[in-house]
Amino acid sequence: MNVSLKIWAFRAVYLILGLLSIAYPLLPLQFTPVRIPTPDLLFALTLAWVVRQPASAPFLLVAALAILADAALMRPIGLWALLLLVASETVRLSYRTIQERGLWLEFSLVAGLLVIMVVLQNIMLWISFSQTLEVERLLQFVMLTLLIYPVMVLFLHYIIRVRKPDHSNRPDRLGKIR
Amino acid sequence: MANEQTSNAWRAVRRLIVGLTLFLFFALFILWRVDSPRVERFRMALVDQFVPNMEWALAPVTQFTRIVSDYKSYAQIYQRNQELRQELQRMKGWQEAALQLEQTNAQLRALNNVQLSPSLGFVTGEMITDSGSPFSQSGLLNVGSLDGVVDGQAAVDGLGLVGRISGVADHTARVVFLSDVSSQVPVIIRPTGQRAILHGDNTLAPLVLFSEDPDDVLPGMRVVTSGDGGVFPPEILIGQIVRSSSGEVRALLAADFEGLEFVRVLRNSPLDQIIGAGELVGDNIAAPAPMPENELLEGEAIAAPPPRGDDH
Repeated sequence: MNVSLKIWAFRAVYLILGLLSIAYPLLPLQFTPVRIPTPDLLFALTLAWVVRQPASAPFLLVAALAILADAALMRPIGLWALLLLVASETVRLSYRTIQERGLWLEFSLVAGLLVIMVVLQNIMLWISFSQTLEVERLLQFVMLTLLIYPVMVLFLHYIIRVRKPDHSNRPDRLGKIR
Repeated sequence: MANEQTSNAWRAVRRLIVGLTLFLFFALFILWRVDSPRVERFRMALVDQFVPNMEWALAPVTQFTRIVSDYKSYAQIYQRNQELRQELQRMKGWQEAALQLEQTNAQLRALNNVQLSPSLGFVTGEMITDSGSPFSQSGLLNVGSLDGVVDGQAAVDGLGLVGRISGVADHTARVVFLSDVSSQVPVIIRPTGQRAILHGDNTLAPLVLFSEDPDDVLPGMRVVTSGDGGVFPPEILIGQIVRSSSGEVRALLAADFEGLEFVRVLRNSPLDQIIGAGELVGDNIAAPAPMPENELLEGEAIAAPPPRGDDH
C-alpha cells in the first residue's frame, strides 16, 4: 500500500515537472528572433526518469505530456511526440542494463537516441514536403539538450530523489543471495 | 499463478495501448500535413485549455527576469536621460511641424469634402507566451474569439505592425510575427509608392522582395502595408528600408519586439464589397432596345434609366 502511494506521489511530481518544462520555453521574455534554441527539458526529464524509476513515469503520462508539448511549442503536431515515445520505450525496455552499466552508457545511449530523433524528424518533414529545420540550429539544440541532461540527472538524484534501486540487495536469476 | 496471469494480460494490454498511441500520433502528424486547419484548431483548443492555467506559474518568473533586466538598464540611467532629452528636443520640433501639417490637412480636406473611411476599432491584449521554438516566430495573446478576434486580423503595438492573427480559440489567439518565415505581407514603399512583398526570414529585418525597381528603393524610405488582398488595412507603418552588406533590401521593423507586452488587434470593419457590374451594364441595356427613333434624334439619354430613380 505504502509502495503504491509512493509511486503515485512520484507520478504527480513527474507530471508537475513535465508541465514546468513545457512552460519554461514559453516565458514571454523575448520576442526577438535572434537567439539560441532552448534545450528540450521534457526529453531530458523523461529519459532520465525512465532510466531510474520507469514505474513512476508511465507510458500514458509521457504520451499526454509529449502531445501537449507539441501543441504548445508550435511543432508539427504528433511528430516529436511520436519520436519521444519511441525513445522512452526503448530506454524502458532495457532500463535494468542501463542502470547496471553506469552513467557513461546511459549518457551515450541518450545522445545516440537524440541524434537519431532529430535526424528522423527532419527526414519525416522532408518526406512530407514540410519545411525542414536548419542543420545549424538543430546542432545547437542537440548540444544544449545533451548539456542539460547531466544537470537533470543530478537534479533528479539529489533534489527530487528519483534514484536507481539498490542493486546489492536484489535477487538475481538464482534467487536472493546474501 | 493468478498473479502471473494478470501480469501477462496486463503486458498484452499495455503493448496494445503503446501501439495504438504511436499509431494515433503518427496519424495526427499525417492529418496535420493533409488537413492543417483542422489540426491547428485542435492545437489552439488544447493550448487554450492549458496555457492560461499555467500563467500563474509563469508570471513570477517572468516578472523576476524583467526586474533584473530593468535593473541593468538603471545602471545607465544618466546616459539614457541625456539621450532622451536630446530626442525630446528634436521631437518637439517635429511635433510643431506635425500640428501645422494637420491643420493644413484638415483645411484641405474640408475644402475637398473628403469622406474618410471609418476609423479602426481595436482590442488590446497581453502577450502571454512566445513560441518557445527557434524555428517559428509567434506569440500567444490573451484575447480570443470571445473578444471578437478573427483569423487574419492585424496586430500592432504602439509603433508599428507586429504580425497577423493565425489561430483563434475562445480566450487566446496566436500572433504570427512579421519575422516568421511563413509571413508574407504586401507593402507599399513611401514616398515612391512602389509595391513589394515583405517576406519574413527569422530576423528582425525581413526581406523586401518583388519591388518594381529595386535600385529605386533607398535606405530610410518608409514601408507601410498596402492593403492589397484585403487582409490588412492599408497604411499601417511597418518600418524603414535598410540595405544589408550583401545588398539585399530589407525592412527594419518599427514595432518594438524587445519589449513587446501589449498588442492591439485591429478589427477592421469589412469594407462594402462591390458585387457584380451594377445594373447599368448588362441585360437592362438590351431591354429598352426598341426605342422610338425620334427620341434618339432628339438627343435624349441612350442608356437605360437609373434603376433606383433619382437621389434628389
